[in-house]
Amino acid sequence: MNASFTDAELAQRRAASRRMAWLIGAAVLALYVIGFFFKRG
Amino acid sequence: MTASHAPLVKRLLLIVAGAFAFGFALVPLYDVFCEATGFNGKTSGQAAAVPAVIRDGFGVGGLTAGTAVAAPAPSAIDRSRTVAVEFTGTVMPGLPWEMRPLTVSLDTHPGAMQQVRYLVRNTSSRTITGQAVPSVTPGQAAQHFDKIECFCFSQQTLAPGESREMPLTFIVKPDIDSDIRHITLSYAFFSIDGQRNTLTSAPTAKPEAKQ
Amino acid sequence: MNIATTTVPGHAGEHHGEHYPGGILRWLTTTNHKDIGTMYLTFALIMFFVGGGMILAVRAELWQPGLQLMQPEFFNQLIGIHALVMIFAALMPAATGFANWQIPLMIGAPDMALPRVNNWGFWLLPPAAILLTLPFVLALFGIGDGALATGWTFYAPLSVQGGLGVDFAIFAVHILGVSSILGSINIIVTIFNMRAPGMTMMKLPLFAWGWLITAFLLIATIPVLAGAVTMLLTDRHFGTHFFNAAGGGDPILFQHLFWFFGHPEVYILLLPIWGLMPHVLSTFSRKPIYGYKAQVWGFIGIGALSVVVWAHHFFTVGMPVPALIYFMFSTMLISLPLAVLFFCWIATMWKGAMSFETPMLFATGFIVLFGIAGLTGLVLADVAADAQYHHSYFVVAHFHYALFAGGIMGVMTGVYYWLPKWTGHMYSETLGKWHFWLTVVSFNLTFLPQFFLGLAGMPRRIPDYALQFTEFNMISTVAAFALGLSQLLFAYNIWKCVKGGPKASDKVWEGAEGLEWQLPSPPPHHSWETQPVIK
Repeated sequence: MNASFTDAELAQRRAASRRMAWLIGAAVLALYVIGFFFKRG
Repeated sequence: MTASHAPLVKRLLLIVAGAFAFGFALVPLYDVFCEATGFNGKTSGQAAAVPAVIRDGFGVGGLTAGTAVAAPAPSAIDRSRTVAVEFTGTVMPGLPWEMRPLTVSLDTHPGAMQQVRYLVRNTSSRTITGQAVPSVTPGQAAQHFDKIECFCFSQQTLAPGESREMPLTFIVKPDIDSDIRHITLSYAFFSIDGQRNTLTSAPTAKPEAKQ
Repeated sequence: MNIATTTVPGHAGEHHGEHYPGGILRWLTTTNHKDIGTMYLTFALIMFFVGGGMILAVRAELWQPGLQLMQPEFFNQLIGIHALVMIFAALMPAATGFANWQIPLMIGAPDMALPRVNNWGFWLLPPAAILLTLPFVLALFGIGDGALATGWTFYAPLSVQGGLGVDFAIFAVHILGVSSILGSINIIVTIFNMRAPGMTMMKLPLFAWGWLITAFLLIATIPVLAGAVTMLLTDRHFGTHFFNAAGGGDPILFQHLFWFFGHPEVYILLLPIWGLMPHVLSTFSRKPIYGYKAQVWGFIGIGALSVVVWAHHFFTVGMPVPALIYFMFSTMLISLPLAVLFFCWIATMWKGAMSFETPMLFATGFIVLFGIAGLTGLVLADVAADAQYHHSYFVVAHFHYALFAGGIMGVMTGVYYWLPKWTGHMYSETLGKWHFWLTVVSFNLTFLPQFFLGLAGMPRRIPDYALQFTEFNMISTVAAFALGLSQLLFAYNIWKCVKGGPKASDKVWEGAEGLEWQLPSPPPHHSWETQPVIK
């Protein structure tokens, strides 16, 4: 189940989680900025 | 083992008892708070000169006795302002009466005394005693709404089929906030005799309350 | 903070070791924290399905406008009992079950401090659950007109005038209250007096901290609820007039008393979950918990604020403007310590070597969905906006994001996280992942449309509705049935794991930290009889 990872795999997961975090952050920021261009009818 | 826990358990039980007592203490505290602020539409009778103490039918939990109602304040009538007063009323379940205000609404000046009447009719074939409970909206107006004569000051008994015009005399006091231009006075009429009866038997009396 | 003894000689010898009564007697008389924890969790799971069944009947009725399946009276009974069952008989017992199993293991104590009280705390629950639901059965035999039909809030004057279901619910609440108070006292005493030597309060596991605050909130607010329903009872039968306007009582007073308990209750349900989350996130990110102290103070801050914000549940009842402003700002203030918790959770994951086993899936799902609950809560806390959203489906959606995604999914996180430790077997990871994705998708499909329904003006607690709401209600109903059915996977997975499965190691999870993972899986019936020493 909970396979133990090698050091290389752990390092790769750390890098992946960091990339994912920046991606989500960028997406949230983009949504926020896009919001400024919406006008209520 | 257990003995060493006893002091802490006792202190915790004390908190429980304190919290339970606090729940009940909130009842009079809340009442005082409402009387002081007019919160929740409670009309208070801050009497300048009290000619007579009249039971207003108020007090939460039956804990407070009646409140005094002021005599007409000798203040001048403020003709620069107009306040619209609307009258409404409900008969609560378990009381076979009908009620409606004979004046639905009127315009008055702060300080001016007004009289209106409600028509109340007993639609049943037995003699019943009821009590009206007033409420003023908005709540902020409640403190400035003085009832001088009101059928809600005492219990009303109606014979079978009898109808009666019940009077209400009031003053909107001049110190009322000038933003308030509209006041609604509402009465809820409750049965007094069969009160416990009606509360527990009302659901069974409902026409086929089946699932 | 005194620690009684380092070695606790197998306390209360009469129930020690080898000679248990067998069968049902074992469970009736047990004082073992693991047995009692198991009973709490089993009871919670059963009642979760009972409460779920009720609301599926409600969703079926709401499939289209008009009355198809039931009369409004019965509809009203279902929604009220659904809420009471889910809150008092599913979520709270599940959290208490966690506390029973985990707190002694996590703080290195041999058992709970008051084992007999513990047994009573549990065995009060089944009678209360029966009292709550019995009126449904009685009505079938023509006795009374069914269960509590006021919604779970018992608002006077409706509850003063209601049928015998109200009396049943009042007594059920009394019994449930006594049970919670007993459980809370036990947990506080255990945490204060029985921690392993060297475990200072600032080394206490966060799960225990969360529960400690919950326990204090319970003993401070449940008695107020007990008082309120007692007043209701005497109003109904003994001629008092606390809420009965006929005698000068005030129905609004009931709302104050109820929500003085009711708002802290939300945090009572959520604090154990917030305590559990950092452990799970840290385990599967293979990093220590970020901001331990900040989270402890966050718990304390939220606990303290929760008792002074209650009136935001009835902004529309008519209050002086200063009161509105006070309750609005104090409510919004809670978002500050809560944001601290959110950022600590995210920071725990930041740069972590994350792996997504089922508990981690539920934990990350929890953060996103509970975030939605928090943000929509801010909208409702705004007095001006609340005038429109009050008593609409927006509120229903909001508190289901808080209590299903925040509460129930939090409980599921804990179950998947600790189940291998409790049973000694691994659950099926495949089934667990299916369960997670089915739950998350159907949950959002059920409740997201309800936000839109609320914004469009559909009131809650209504069996019939205007035509334009039909489509969203249909989506919600279909998804609700999918959500309910997905939970059968959960029950099946637990059942299979209890019965057998691949052997779990003592540590279970590669990144797990804490005393409980030093014990064997499953831990022996009596654990930590020699308390560990924390350096």
